[in-house]
Amino acid sequence: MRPEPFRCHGVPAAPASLRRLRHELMAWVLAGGIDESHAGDIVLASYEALANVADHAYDGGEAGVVDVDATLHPGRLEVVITDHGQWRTPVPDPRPVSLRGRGLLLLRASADRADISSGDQGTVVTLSWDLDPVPDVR
Amino acid sequence: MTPSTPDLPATELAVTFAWRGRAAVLGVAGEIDLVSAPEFGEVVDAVLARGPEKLVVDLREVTFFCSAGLQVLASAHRRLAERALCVVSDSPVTSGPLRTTGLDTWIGVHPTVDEALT
Repeated sequence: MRPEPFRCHGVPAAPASLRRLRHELMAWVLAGGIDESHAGDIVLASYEALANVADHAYDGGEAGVVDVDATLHPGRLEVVITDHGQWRTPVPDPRPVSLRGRGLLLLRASADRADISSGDQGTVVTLSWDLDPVPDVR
Repeated sequence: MTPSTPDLPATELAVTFAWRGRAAVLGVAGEIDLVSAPEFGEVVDAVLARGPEKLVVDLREVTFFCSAGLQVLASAHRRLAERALCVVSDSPVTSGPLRTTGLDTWIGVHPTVDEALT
Protein backbone atom coordinates (compact mmCIF):
# COMPACT_ATOMS: atom_id res chain seq x y z
CA MET A 1 0.00 0.00 0.00
CA ARG A 2 1.31 3.35 -0.96
CA PRO A 3 1.13 6.04 1.74
CA GLU A 4 -1.01 9.14 1.41
CA PRO A 5 0.82 12.07 -0.18
CA PHE A 6 2.81 14.28 2.20
CA ARG A 7 1.37 17.76 2.43
CA CYS A 8 2.75 20.52 4.63
CA HIS A 9 1.76 24.06 3.66
CA GLY A 10 2.38 27.49 5.15
CA VAL A 11 5.51 26.52 7.07
CA PRO A 12 7.57 29.54 8.20
CA ALA A 13 10.93 29.59 6.37
CA ALA A 14 12.84 29.74 9.66
CA PRO A 15 15.46 27.31 11.03
CA ALA A 16 13.40 25.65 13.78
CA SER A 17 10.29 25.06 11.65
CA LEU A 18 12.36 23.83 8.70
CA ARG A 19 14.04 21.28 10.99
CA ARG A 20 10.65 20.01 12.14
CA LEU A 21 9.51 19.81 8.52
CA ARG A 22 12.63 17.79 7.63
CA HIS A 23 11.89 15.31 10.44
CA GLU A 24 8.29 14.92 9.26
CA LEU A 25 9.38 14.37 5.66
CA MET A 26 11.95 11.77 6.78
CA ALA A 27 9.28 9.91 8.78
CA TRP A 28 6.95 9.90 5.77
CA VAL A 29 9.70 8.69 3.42
CA LEU A 30 10.70 5.84 5.75
CA ALA A 31 7.05 4.90 6.31
CA GLY A 32 6.82 4.51 2.52
CA GLY A 33 9.41 1.73 2.65
CA ILE A 34 12.18 3.78 1.03
CA ASP A 35 15.67 2.48 1.83
CA GLU A 36 17.87 4.54 4.13
CA SER A 37 20.33 5.70 1.47
CA HIS A 38 17.58 7.02 -0.82
CA ALA A 39 15.83 8.55 2.20
CA GLY A 40 19.00 10.45 3.09
CA ASP A 41 19.28 11.86 -0.45
CA ILE A 42 15.59 12.81 -0.55
CA VAL A 43 15.71 14.63 2.75
CA LEU A 44 19.04 16.34 2.00
CA ALA A 45 17.98 17.70 -1.41
CA SER A 46 14.63 18.84 -0.04
CA TYR A 47 16.29 20.53 2.93
CA GLU A 48 18.77 22.36 0.68
CA ALA A 49 15.82 23.73 -1.32
CA LEU A 50 14.18 24.84 1.93
CA ALA A 51 17.43 26.37 3.19
CA ASN A 52 17.70 28.35 -0.03
CA VAL A 53 14.20 29.70 0.60
CA ALA A 54 15.15 30.70 4.15
CA ASP A 55 18.36 32.26 2.88
CA HIS A 56 17.18 34.11 -0.20
CA ALA A 57 13.50 34.06 -0.94
CA TYR A 58 12.50 36.41 1.82
CA ASP A 59 15.67 38.44 2.08
CA GLY A 60 15.19 41.73 3.82
CA GLY A 61 11.62 41.06 4.94
CA GLU A 62 9.97 38.95 7.59
CA ALA A 63 10.17 35.18 7.17
CA GLY A 64 7.77 33.99 4.51
CA VAL A 65 6.18 30.60 4.24
CA VAL A 66 6.96 27.54 2.17
CA ASP A 67 4.80 24.64 0.97
CA VAL A 68 6.04 21.06 0.62
CA ASP A 69 4.19 18.29 -1.22
CA ALA A 70 5.60 14.81 -1.68
CA THR A 71 4.07 11.92 -3.54
CA LEU A 72 5.08 8.30 -3.90
CA HIS A 73 4.24 7.02 -7.39
CA PRO A 74 4.99 3.51 -8.66
CA GLY A 75 8.77 3.53 -9.15
CA ARG A 76 9.14 7.23 -8.48
CA LEU A 77 9.08 9.68 -5.60
CA GLU A 78 8.50 13.39 -6.16
CA VAL A 79 8.96 16.33 -3.79
CA VAL A 80 7.70 19.80 -4.72
CA ILE A 81 8.81 22.84 -2.70
CA THR A 82 6.96 26.07 -3.41
CA ASP A 83 7.73 29.51 -2.04
CA HIS A 84 6.15 32.85 -2.72
CA GLY A 85 9.24 35.04 -2.60
CA GLN A 86 12.06 35.90 -4.94
CA TRP A 87 14.48 33.06 -5.66
CA ARG A 88 18.03 34.29 -5.98
CA THR A 89 20.70 32.24 -7.64
CA PRO A 90 23.65 32.49 -5.26
CA VAL A 91 26.44 34.74 -6.49
CA PRO A 92 29.38 32.45 -7.20
CA ASP A 93 32.42 32.91 -4.97
CA PRO A 94 35.44 32.56 -7.29
CA ARG A 95 37.88 31.55 -4.54
CA PRO A 96 38.97 27.89 -4.65
CA VAL A 97 37.37 27.00 -1.32
CA SER A 98 34.35 29.27 -1.39
CA LEU A 99 32.19 29.63 1.70
CA ARG A 100 28.82 29.58 -0.01
CA GLY A 101 27.01 28.20 -3.01
CA ARG A 102 27.20 24.49 -2.20
CA GLY A 103 23.51 24.11 -1.44
CA LEU A 104 22.38 23.99 -5.06
CA LEU A 105 25.23 21.66 -5.94
CA LEU A 106 24.13 19.24 -3.21
CA LEU A 107 20.48 19.62 -4.23
CA ARG A 108 21.20 18.69 -7.85
CA ALA A 109 23.62 15.89 -6.98
CA SER A 110 21.24 14.27 -4.49
CA ALA A 111 18.20 14.11 -6.78
CA ASP A 112 17.75 12.07 -9.96
CA ARG A 113 16.01 15.11 -11.48
CA ALA A 114 15.83 18.68 -10.20
CA ASP A 115 13.83 21.43 -11.83
CA ILE A 116 13.77 24.99 -10.53
CA SER A 117 11.28 27.36 -12.09
CA SER A 118 11.13 30.93 -10.92
CA GLY A 119 8.44 33.46 -11.65
CA ASP A 120 6.89 36.63 -10.27
CA GLN A 121 4.77 34.62 -7.85
CA GLY A 122 7.68 32.70 -6.38
CA THR A 123 9.65 29.57 -7.11
CA VAL A 124 8.77 25.92 -7.54
CA VAL A 125 11.49 23.32 -7.00
CA THR A 126 10.55 19.86 -8.27
CA LEU A 127 12.78 16.99 -7.21
CA SER A 128 12.32 13.38 -8.19
CA TRP A 129 13.93 10.01 -7.65
CA ASP A 130 13.61 6.70 -9.47
CA LEU A 131 12.88 3.83 -7.13
CA ASP A 132 12.65 0.10 -7.29
CA PRO A 133 9.05 -0.38 -8.45
CA VAL A 134 8.33 -2.93 -5.72
CA PRO A 135 10.57 -1.85 -2.84
CA ASP A 136 9.06 -4.12 -0.18
CA VAL A 137 9.03 -7.44 -2.09
CA ARG A 138 12.67 -8.50 -2.13
CA MET B 1 39.47 11.79 24.77
CA THR B 2 37.88 13.60 27.72
CA PRO B 3 34.12 14.04 27.63
CA SER B 4 34.21 17.47 29.26
CA THR B 5 34.45 20.64 27.20
CA PRO B 6 35.54 23.47 29.49
CA ASP B 7 35.40 26.95 27.99
CA LEU B 8 33.74 25.98 24.71
CA PRO B 9 30.52 27.80 23.82
CA ALA B 10 27.29 26.13 24.92
CA THR B 11 25.48 24.38 22.09
CA GLU B 12 22.68 21.90 21.46
CA LEU B 13 25.32 19.73 19.78
CA ALA B 14 27.16 17.37 22.09
CA VAL B 15 30.80 18.43 21.82
CA THR B 16 34.02 16.76 22.98
CA PHE B 17 37.49 18.24 22.82
CA ALA B 18 40.97 16.86 23.36
CA TRP B 19 44.56 17.70 22.52
CA ARG B 20 46.66 15.08 20.74
CA GLY B 21 50.05 16.77 20.83
CA ARG B 22 49.62 20.02 18.89
CA ALA B 23 46.51 18.72 17.17
CA ALA B 24 43.03 19.57 18.43
CA VAL B 25 40.42 16.82 18.15
CA LEU B 26 36.86 18.13 18.17
CA GLY B 27 34.01 15.64 18.31
CA VAL B 28 30.49 16.73 17.46
CA ALA B 29 27.22 14.80 17.81
CA GLY B 30 23.76 15.69 16.60
CA GLU B 31 22.18 17.33 13.57
CA ILE B 32 24.10 20.11 11.83
CA ASP B 33 21.52 22.22 10.01
CA LEU B 34 20.38 25.86 9.92
CA VAL B 35 19.53 25.68 13.62
CA SER B 36 22.87 24.37 14.87
CA ALA B 37 25.41 25.41 12.20
CA PRO B 38 25.98 28.86 13.79
CA GLU B 39 26.79 27.15 17.10
CA PHE B 40 29.01 24.61 15.34
CA GLY B 41 30.85 27.62 13.83
CA GLU B 42 31.28 29.22 17.27
CA VAL B 43 32.74 26.03 18.71
CA VAL B 44 35.17 25.67 15.79
CA ASP B 45 36.17 29.35 16.21
CA ALA B 46 36.82 28.78 19.92
CA VAL B 47 39.04 25.77 19.14
CA LEU B 48 40.94 27.64 16.41
CA ALA B 49 41.53 30.50 18.88
CA ARG B 50 43.65 28.04 20.89
CA GLY B 51 46.07 27.89 18.00
CA PRO B 52 46.18 24.20 17.05
CA GLU B 53 48.62 23.14 14.35
CA LYS B 54 46.03 20.73 13.09
CA LEU B 55 42.29 20.35 13.61
CA VAL B 56 40.49 17.00 13.40
CA VAL B 57 36.70 17.29 13.38
CA ASP B 58 35.09 13.96 14.26
CA LEU B 59 31.66 13.85 12.60
CA ARG B 60 30.90 10.16 13.25
CA GLU B 61 28.05 10.99 15.65
CA VAL B 62 26.48 13.54 13.29
CA THR B 63 23.10 12.37 11.99
CA PHE B 64 22.37 15.15 9.49
CA PHE B 65 24.85 17.27 7.52
CA CYS B 66 24.22 19.83 4.76
CA SER B 67 25.70 22.91 3.09
CA ALA B 68 25.40 24.92 6.32
CA GLY B 69 27.92 22.56 7.95
CA LEU B 70 30.16 22.57 4.87
CA GLN B 71 30.33 26.35 5.12
CA VAL B 72 31.71 26.10 8.68
CA LEU B 73 34.37 23.58 7.54
CA ALA B 74 35.33 25.70 4.51
CA SER B 75 35.76 28.71 6.76
CA ALA B 76 37.97 26.72 9.18
CA HIS B 77 40.04 25.37 6.27
CA ARG B 78 40.84 28.93 5.21
CA ARG B 79 42.19 29.81 8.62
CA LEU B 80 44.53 26.83 8.91
CA ALA B 81 47.65 25.76 7.04
CA GLU B 82 47.12 23.59 3.98
CA ARG B 83 46.03 20.02 4.90
CA ALA B 84 45.72 21.01 8.57
CA LEU B 85 41.97 20.37 8.68
CA CYS B 86 40.71 16.79 8.61
CA VAL B 87 37.34 15.20 9.12
CA VAL B 88 36.54 11.79 10.58
CA SER B 89 33.54 10.14 8.95
CA ASP B 90 32.33 6.58 8.58
CA SER B 91 28.98 7.37 7.00
CA PRO B 92 27.74 8.81 3.69
CA VAL B 93 25.59 11.19 5.77
CA THR B 94 28.72 13.27 6.39
CA SER B 95 31.25 12.09 3.79
CA GLY B 96 28.70 12.36 0.94
CA PRO B 97 28.27 16.16 1.02
CA LEU B 98 32.06 16.66 1.35
CA ARG B 99 32.76 14.42 -1.66
CA THR B 100 29.85 15.63 -3.80
CA THR B 101 30.99 19.24 -3.50
CA GLY B 102 34.70 18.44 -3.95
CA LEU B 103 35.62 19.87 -0.55
CA ASP B 104 37.40 16.58 0.17
CA THR B 105 40.10 17.78 -2.22
CA TRP B 106 41.17 20.19 0.52
CA ILE B 107 39.79 18.60 3.65
CA GLY B 108 40.91 15.01 4.20
CA VAL B 109 38.18 12.51 5.11
CA HIS B 110 39.34 9.59 7.29
CA PRO B 111 37.52 6.67 8.91
CA THR B 112 39.18 7.07 12.36
CA VAL B 113 40.79 9.81 14.47
CA ASP B 114 44.12 7.95 14.45
CA GLU B 115 44.19 7.86 10.65
CA ALA B 116 43.29 11.55 10.52
CA LEU B 117 46.24 12.33 12.82
CA THR B 118 48.86 10.48 10.76
